[in-house]
Amino acid sequence: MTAVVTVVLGVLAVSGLLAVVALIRGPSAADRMVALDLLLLVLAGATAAGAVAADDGTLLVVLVVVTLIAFVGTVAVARIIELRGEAE
Amino acid sequence: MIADAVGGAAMVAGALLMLASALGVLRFPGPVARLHAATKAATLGLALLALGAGVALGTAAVVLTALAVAFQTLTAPIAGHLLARAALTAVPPGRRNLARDDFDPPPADSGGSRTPRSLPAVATVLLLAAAWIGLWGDPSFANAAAGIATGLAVVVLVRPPAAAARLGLRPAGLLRFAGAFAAALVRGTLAVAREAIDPDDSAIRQAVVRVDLPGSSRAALVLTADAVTLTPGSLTVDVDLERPALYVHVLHFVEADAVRRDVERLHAVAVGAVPNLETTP
Repeated sequence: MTAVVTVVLGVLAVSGLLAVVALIRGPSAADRMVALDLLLLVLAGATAAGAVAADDGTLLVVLVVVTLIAFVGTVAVARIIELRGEAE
Repeated sequence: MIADAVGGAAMVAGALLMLASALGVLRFPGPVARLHAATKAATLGLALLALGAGVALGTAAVVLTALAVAFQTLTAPIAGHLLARAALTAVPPGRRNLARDDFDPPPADSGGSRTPRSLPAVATVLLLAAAWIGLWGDPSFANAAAGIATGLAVVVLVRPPAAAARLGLRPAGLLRFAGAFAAALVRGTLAVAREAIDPDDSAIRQAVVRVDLPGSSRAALVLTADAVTLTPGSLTVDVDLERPALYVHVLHFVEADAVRRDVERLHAVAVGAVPNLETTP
């Protein structure tokens, strides 16, 4: 299982890196929010893999919290973009 | 041992989907096309990663991850709609780079004055108690009692609004819709993943098409909007509640009639799930 977790974490690390590149490149606020959302999901996935590595199911509570926060954050930013326009 | 193998395989598949999603977000042109990659592939990717970890760690962990996955699957399309609409409204109509552009939405929050009908208090309490037990990951008597107590406290103190009760939900139709929903998610994910890896981007031709669904109820409209978002190459941008219609963003636009046919097919399944709901005036 350790080998599998290592592979999973490696792939997720590359995905996270790509998400960070997309986050920096933008160019619009909406582009960045999509990238940030993805980064959060990648981190949630890494937490799941970490829970398996540590053999500790209590870490999985983080998943519930992260999915909740990701949603609230995206909605808030979407509202801001819509009300204020793309102020870049 | 078998649980380890299944869980491990699911997690590897989930991680690869995340990678495909990240490639799509990096390479697709424009925020709405990027949302196609982020809402479908990343949602299924996280579901596989979380459930894989849950299976490897035991029953309590499965309950907990299932809760997270259910929440993510329900909220991802909603967050996608909002962000897609915001991204489109921020750009003036002529400069959206679309092959066809029907998007001319009414201002936000136009029809929001109605108060939603409440779920019967008992159902709300049970639902909250179930979530409570799921979060503890242990269906013991003490947890059930504490969950029900918490549920009662929430209902008495907050009176949460929710629209689902007394509206003639049809379990069989709902199950069929859930099946179509899951199938759409898997197909949508694979299509987007292929697209993200494929170096040839010339096939991408974005458009927003208005699809009228006359006489549709609000519930059927919402279900259809979510299903459309999880279907390959299409994403709901906005909903018109006054004259029931969806604004659908497509990645590979060929003709508007093809888009309308696909949406109407999904709508028919959605109506099967919630047939008796009020229709919009």
